[in-house]
Amino acid sequence: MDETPITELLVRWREGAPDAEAALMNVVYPLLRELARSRLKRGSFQAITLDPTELVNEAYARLQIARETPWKDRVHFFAISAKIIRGLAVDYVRARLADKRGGDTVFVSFDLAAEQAGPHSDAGVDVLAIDAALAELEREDAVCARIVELKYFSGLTTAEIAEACGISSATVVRHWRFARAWLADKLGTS
Amino acid sequence: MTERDGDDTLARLRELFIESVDLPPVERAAFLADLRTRDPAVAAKLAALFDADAHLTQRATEPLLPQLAPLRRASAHWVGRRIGAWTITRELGAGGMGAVYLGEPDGGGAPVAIKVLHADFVDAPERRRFLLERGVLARLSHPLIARYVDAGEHDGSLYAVMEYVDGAPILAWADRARLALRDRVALFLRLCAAVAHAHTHRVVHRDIKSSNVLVGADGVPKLLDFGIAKPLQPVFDGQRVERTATAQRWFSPHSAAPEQISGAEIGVGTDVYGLGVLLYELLCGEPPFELAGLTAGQIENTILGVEPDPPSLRALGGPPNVADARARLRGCADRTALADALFGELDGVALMALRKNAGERYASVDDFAADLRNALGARPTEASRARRFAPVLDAIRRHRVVAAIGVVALAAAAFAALSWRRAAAPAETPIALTVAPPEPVAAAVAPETRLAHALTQLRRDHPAAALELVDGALATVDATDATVDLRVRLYDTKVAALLRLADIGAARAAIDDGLAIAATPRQRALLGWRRVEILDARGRGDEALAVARELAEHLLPSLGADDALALAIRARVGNAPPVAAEPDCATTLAGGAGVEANAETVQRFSRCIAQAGASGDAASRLALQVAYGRLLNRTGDYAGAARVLDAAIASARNDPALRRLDTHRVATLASAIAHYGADASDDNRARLRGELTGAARIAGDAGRLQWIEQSALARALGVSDEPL
Repeated sequence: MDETPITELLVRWREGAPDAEAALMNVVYPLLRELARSRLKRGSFQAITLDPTELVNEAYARLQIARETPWKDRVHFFAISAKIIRGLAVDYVRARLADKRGGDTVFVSFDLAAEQAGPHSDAGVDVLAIDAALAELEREDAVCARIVELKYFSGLTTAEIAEACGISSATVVRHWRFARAWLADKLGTS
Repeated sequence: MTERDGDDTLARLRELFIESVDLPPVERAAFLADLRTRDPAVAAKLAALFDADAHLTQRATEPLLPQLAPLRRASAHWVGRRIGAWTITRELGAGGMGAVYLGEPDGGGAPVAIKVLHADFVDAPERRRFLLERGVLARLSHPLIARYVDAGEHDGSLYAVMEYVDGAPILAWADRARLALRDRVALFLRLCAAVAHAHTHRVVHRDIKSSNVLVGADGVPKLLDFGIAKPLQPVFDGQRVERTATAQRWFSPHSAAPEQISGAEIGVGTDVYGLGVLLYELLCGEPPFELAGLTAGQIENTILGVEPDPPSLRALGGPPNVADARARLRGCADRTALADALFGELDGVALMALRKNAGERYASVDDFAADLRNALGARPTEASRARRFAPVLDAIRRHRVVAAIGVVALAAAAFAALSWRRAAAPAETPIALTVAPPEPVAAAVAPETRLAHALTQLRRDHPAAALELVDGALATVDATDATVDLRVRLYDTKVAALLRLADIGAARAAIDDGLAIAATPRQRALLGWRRVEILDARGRGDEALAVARELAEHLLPSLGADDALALAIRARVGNAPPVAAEPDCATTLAGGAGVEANAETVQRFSRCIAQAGASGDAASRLALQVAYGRLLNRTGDYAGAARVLDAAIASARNDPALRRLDTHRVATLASAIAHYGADASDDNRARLRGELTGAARIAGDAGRLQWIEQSALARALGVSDEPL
């Protein structure tokens, strides 16, 4: 059992140690899954609410990550968690559909990060559709895709996303503007 | 497609999108049109993205900034509480970041208005500055400025107390009172005095708009939120953000000066700009920019880079009945009268206050007011002098000619040629401009309207202005089959203007341009006739006659009897070549409004009328008689006018074709005016009122202009067709 404190893992990961990310994911994933499940159970059949910010904050606390952790590490923690949460949401929805207890689509509400509305700000999001669109976007424009993933699944602000991706805030804003229009057009919704 | 290709496509699409999404609407449409010629698939995709982006922006209705959420709870929460020496009794209004309440003082007395702002909106430096400015604001004492009473902090929230003003926003008030143009300007000048007073105390308002100028029942305007505007405006990411309570839309800052958007220095010029926006809408009923439906980025780019149309032009735009109603609210007979009143000096003053570069606006509100008085008093204005130094730039911006590179080169040359004064223009970079896009773009004023305006300017002997209007129309009109007639008329008007400016070379070029697209006999005759005019003007009468004969032979049969053009051609062919100094009857006819009534004119008319009668040309004779009668009406010789006009009407009694002509309809109106002018009996009055309702039956432009001219005379005599 890996007893290395998370903080160390984060530092190692930030420094680019090859195994650090995997190690981090191994620790974080089960926790997030447990947290997400307990929340998702509470929701109603058709509409469930998933708050990435809340989830990750709680995971962060549970992992007892030291409070003096530099802001950048916190941001990166959130960034990694985003990918996990995306996967969790997709798995959950697929499982729900397999149960055939619901309708054709299960909607998941996301409390989107502060600044901008995405194609569906408070309304339900078709997670599978977003996931598929994201996968396509990842093939063609990795940076844009990463930004979208973080916007939806991490609860990070523009500045934090910029930090996580190593680009400027202005770039994030521009890419997001394009990506959300592209998504809205692709998903055929407004 | 390899993965690399895929990367290129989406990345390229992204770059194109980012580059163009926030261009002002016309430029963006041009960009798209240009792209379409090179890569239609990508252009289609880009257009779809613009649509999606627009929808997303419009749907931003919920508080996107979590800080705004508490505000929804805030309002109810303040009523009944005490702030300072006042008790808040009710809410007066709410804005995005605060609300205004009515406060009653302890122990009775005049109520106050208390603006409360949630403290989260103001960062520490703003708060410090706000509290410091109290001293400065307290010194402002002016009857037209809502008195500042107190300000402070209470329970985490900033508040400002000022004199309570019970009134309507100035624009709404002026419309409700149906304030005539001169009175609007007078009201506005009072407001200027107030702003100027504050400037002497070094306080800039920064947010002058109609809702901040309330007019009470006594007709006295008061300026609100003076100096309070700045610290109470929340700033997020350098963008001003506010949400109106009723419509959950982002506040569109149409009175924001360019420097407020670009973050440059704010000063006296910012208030001049704000006053300019207010004046503009007071004058013509429309704001300088139509910002509805634009994205935030497009709004910014429009305010920063797009030049507003002159108020006189805006007065003509939109659905005619709406425009006419707007004009009547300003004491004008119709939109053309309003446009006429605004054209020139008032236009210039308003536009000068709205220059993008603060250095090019009036240096002070007092200068602004003084120039406005100049404009009203028909004295030369600073604005018109300044304009003369930047004609090329204005032409480029408004006519949207030539690709970007050409513009920069041309502008560079123009800058070199521009003289010392007002050379501050270079600060603005020419926007990338292309020829009018084939995709229909809603222009603020339709080409037809510009043409009508141009014809009016020709009549008033302003050929340069007419030329500019026509060029503007030609630049924005679509080149389709449906618009051939309009374009031919535009070229024809262009030629007329160029002839008055004595630019024969350009006139001939314009004739050729027009003939290149002319399709019908009338269109060819219209332009061909200009050739005759040119030849006459250069003293080559024989050649002129030859061309006129050709026109008569080939094209005259296709023209109607009422046609002024046909009359002119026929008259030209029927006459011997005119002696240089003596204008022929066609000119007499065409001269119309510009002609003066003197002995020579009377002779000319008599001779021409006799000539037309002798040659059996009844239509020409009627037209001449009516022109003469109108002239006599204008000069007040009502008895004479009645004689001529009644004779004309009598001779048409047995000719149904004549009676259907526009000229005849104008004749009956003019005759009614003449009779009323000579004898203001009830019968004559009733008859005149009846005639005034006949405007709808006028078919042609020329007839309409004549009708408007005569009905204005009727109004001057105190008779209109409006319900009693």
